[in-house]
Amino acid sequence: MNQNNSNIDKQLQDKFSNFTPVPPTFVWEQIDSKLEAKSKRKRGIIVWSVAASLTVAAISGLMLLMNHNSSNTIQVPVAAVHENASVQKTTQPEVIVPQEEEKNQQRFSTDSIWWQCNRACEFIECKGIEIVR
Amino acid sequence: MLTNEEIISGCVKNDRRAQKELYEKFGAKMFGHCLRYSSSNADAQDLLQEGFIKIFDSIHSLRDASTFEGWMTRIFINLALSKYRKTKSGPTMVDIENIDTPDQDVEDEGNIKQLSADQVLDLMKQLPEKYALVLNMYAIDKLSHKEIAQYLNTSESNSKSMLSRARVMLRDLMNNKK
Repeated sequence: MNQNNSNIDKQLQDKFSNFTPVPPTFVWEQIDSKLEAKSKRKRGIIVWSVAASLTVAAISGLMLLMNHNSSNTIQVPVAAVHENASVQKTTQPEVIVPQEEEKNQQRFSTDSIWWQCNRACEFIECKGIEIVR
Repeated sequence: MLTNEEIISGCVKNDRRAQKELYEKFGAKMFGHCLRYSSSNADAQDLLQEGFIKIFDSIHSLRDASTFEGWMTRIFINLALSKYRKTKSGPTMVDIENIDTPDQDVEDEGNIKQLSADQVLDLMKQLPEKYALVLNMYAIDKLSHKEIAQYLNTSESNSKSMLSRARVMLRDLMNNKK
């Protein structure tokens, strides 16, 4: 009986070892279109992630720049200004000559930072991302 | 004509030419597996499509190119069985008491040889689905009863019973055809 069973199994195996029916052509067409859709989706994800990374990098860069500039700004207390103003009438004000480096840093005035921020916002808006100002 | 290694490395890089070459080289053979494991031609076509998409998605995980064909066959069998499990919930049980253990001297062994693969396939399609699955897995794809039991969520003894039943029914069908 076992011999018979294994014979049947063997014959079935032989029968289907070269069983290669040709699939209809539309099957490959469907596979092809699915693969195409997948690769398009993949490309889209890559483009969006690159755009998002660039945006994050630009915003972080701007914030760093703003922090840097604000820490370099010479802050003079208002009271001190008034005192100086009253003294100015009688005594010669001490002329503080800023160092060359400080001069360069002062070029980044508040106005120029706002201008840069606006430029960045315009750039981001060009890419279709809405910014609430 | 690309070699298997070239086809595999092309497919890993999502090269459409290599993917088409792979399909052209193995599509017919895999369609044969799909037909054996599906209840209809349309189901087999769906299975073929799904199987190739899965192959292209996971080909980067293939380590040994020499096992390529076996690896693909396993993907198709796994897909077919997961489809089967989705449609049939619950463990597969066969009452062992009702299993015929025929002592008939089977002189119709030669029948399979006389029939074409399509004809044998038609006969196998007349078997209950789970019997056909076990016969396919054990007799043709050489899976063990342990593996079959895991795939079908049943016991090894049930797998053996179903195989025995499937053989008897197939013999009967062949005799009737004669």
